[in-house]
Amino acid sequence: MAELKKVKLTSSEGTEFIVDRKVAEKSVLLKNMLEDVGESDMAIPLPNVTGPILNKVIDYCTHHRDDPFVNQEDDSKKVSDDIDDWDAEFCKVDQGTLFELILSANYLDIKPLLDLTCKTVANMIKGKTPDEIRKTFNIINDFTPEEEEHVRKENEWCEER
Amino acid sequence: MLTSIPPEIYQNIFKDLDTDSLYSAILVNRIWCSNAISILWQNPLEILYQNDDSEYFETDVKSVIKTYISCLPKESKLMLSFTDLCIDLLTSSIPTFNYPSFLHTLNYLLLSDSVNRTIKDNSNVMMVQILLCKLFFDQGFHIRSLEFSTHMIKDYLDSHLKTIYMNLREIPGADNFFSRIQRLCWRDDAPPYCLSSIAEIAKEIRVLDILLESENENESGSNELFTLINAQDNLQQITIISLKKTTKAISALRSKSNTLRKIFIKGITSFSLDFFYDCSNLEELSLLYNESHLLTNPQIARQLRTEIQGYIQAGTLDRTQMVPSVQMVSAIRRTVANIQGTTIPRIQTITNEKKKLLHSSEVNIQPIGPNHSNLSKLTVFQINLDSFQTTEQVIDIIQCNNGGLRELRVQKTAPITVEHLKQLFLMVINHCPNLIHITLCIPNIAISEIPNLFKKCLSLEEVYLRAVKTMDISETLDEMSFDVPINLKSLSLGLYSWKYSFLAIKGFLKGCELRVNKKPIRFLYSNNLTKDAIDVLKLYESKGILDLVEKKLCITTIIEAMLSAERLFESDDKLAVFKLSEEELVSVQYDDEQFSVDKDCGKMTLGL
Repeated sequence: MAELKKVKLTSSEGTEFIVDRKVAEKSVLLKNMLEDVGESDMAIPLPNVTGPILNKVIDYCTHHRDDPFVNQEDDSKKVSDDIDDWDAEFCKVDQGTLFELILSANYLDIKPLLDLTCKTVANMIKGKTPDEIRKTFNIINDFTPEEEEHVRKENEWCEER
Repeated sequence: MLTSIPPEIYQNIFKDLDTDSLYSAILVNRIWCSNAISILWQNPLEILYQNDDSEYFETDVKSVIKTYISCLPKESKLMLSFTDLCIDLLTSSIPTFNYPSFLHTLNYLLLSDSVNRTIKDNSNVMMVQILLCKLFFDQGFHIRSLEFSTHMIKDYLDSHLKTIYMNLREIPGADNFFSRIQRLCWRDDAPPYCLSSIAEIAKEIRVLDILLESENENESGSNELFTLINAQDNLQQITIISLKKTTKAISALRSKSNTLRKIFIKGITSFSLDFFYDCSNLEELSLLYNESHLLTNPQIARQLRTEIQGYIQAGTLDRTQMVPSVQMVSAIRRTVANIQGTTIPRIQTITNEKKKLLHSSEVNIQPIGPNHSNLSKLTVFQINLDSFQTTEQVIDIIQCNNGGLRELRVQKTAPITVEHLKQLFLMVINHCPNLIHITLCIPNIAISEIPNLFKKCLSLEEVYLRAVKTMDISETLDEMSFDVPINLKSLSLGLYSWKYSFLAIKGFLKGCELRVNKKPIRFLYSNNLTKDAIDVLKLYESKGILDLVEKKLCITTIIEAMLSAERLFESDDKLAVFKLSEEELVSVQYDDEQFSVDKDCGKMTLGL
């Protein structure tokens, strides 16, 4: 019976989403909120999350609704290197969406989604030179030449030769 | 959009990056630099020593030490400026970051060795070492882990290191530092006074990793270890790998039964399993006794390990989990020599080595009934069956555990009666519904129970059923095909010994194809199977159902079998007689005073 309970969420634009409580509880933020509030038909406003992003987040939580809850303390090292097919497909989005997903996962406190999206960004960094990274993420180098030289000198031990 | 990202998210992104990528990250811009630098410097020396054969190793180590020296406070630098220390180490520039504050683990051996490599002049080494330790004590706010060993980083590294030991408590700030330490990694190469000075202060150690190799229990700081363990208020994990008796140190664990969550002991002990019954929070228990391979001389122990490592690197041996013994290495040498047709160098014989291969448990305490047990949180249980008493206690623990076990790895290191093994298997079937991994010896009289294992343990992913004797399991295989666990990932069915008809295996694999969620399944087989059975396996590999792994009956296997006295016939002080199958006899062609093989009786005799 408990599984049939629904929860209403509103995105920043005011769009209403109705999801299973079990799906919503993938978010620790919502889980705690629901536990505090108890039974209620009131929609929970999520002013930091836009409709399209909330839609994606719900997709993710629905797909992973039956995953066991991972103890954050213990399993921090256990993060597997490979991302499974569904998750990889899920992360095939433009950079803007990807970063919004990261911020939403952080805000809603959905650890597995945060790890997944961060890992996806990490994979985009892997093996690139500083210049390639700047191009990939459209970043401007704000180091002064002296600063850069200093950092290089102090970190000489990891220089590739 | 990257500008709006909070630091903790940067850290999450960077946390698993390799060194090269992190180095790129710190050069991207200021924000990236300030977020990636702390990860890069969590343990730079460890990264370098993992690659100590790199041609830039020396330069890189020197570079790290140089950066740390640049972080020394003014007074320290002033002291150094009065010495004849190489001037290029003492730059006047102020470092961009407080690098010591990023360090998570202080490895004393690596620090000492790096300082030795950087500063060739011996008279200054000690001073720099003291100043750097003081720097880490004062500035290493994030250091929670202190290491006096490198066995976690790389095998066989310690002996190449040049380490100058000193009493760290004489350095100002040490007490404060020790009181923050939560993990200690110790090896008895370091002098016991290092341990006792930590034991006097440290109370918060949660994780202890200990490697003991020296000959004499008293010399190796056993008393200090006992004191240290006793002093800890919240000891949660302990790993002890030992080549000699560690009874004293381990006895201190008794007082930690409320806090301990993980225990891993590999080595020689002489207490019974009931010792752990009071550990109400225990989640993982691994007890791998090696009483039969008692090594008394540390030099020889090291020499043997190096030699075995050589065989492994040369591909002659599979990676072995065993603590090396003279018998083992001697057997390997012979076999290798037989294969290569060369002469065999004689191995030193050590009188103390001439231990019985077979021993009976020293302590014989009646198993405590299920009501007394507290081991309900246990999820990982790994143990060697070395006597029937142990077997009975394992059965007991499984019964008490109330179904929480997820991983069970049981290996036989002494002959156990088939009745006991069957009883154990039945207990597993009926009391471990949540099992994910199983490694267990199945005697022939219990093979017909395997389908019940599949019926009762629905979460099984890794199934390693070990044979005790040769057997045709076709009939059972038919029955098993209806209940293949749907999450099965890895399967071994009586490697080297069990056989099945091609029809039976075909039926079973059809069952796998229908039921198992994620394919291919890793499947271990060896050439004791008939050709048509292997053909079926290969067919299913081409269909993507199986991922075949061929295991050759190799030297390791035979020696393992010998040393675990798997098929021990009879033994006294001088001789151990093994019963081997025909296939094994073909592989083992020993013939000298230490090994003799009688093909007709299927016996191999090993002189001890």
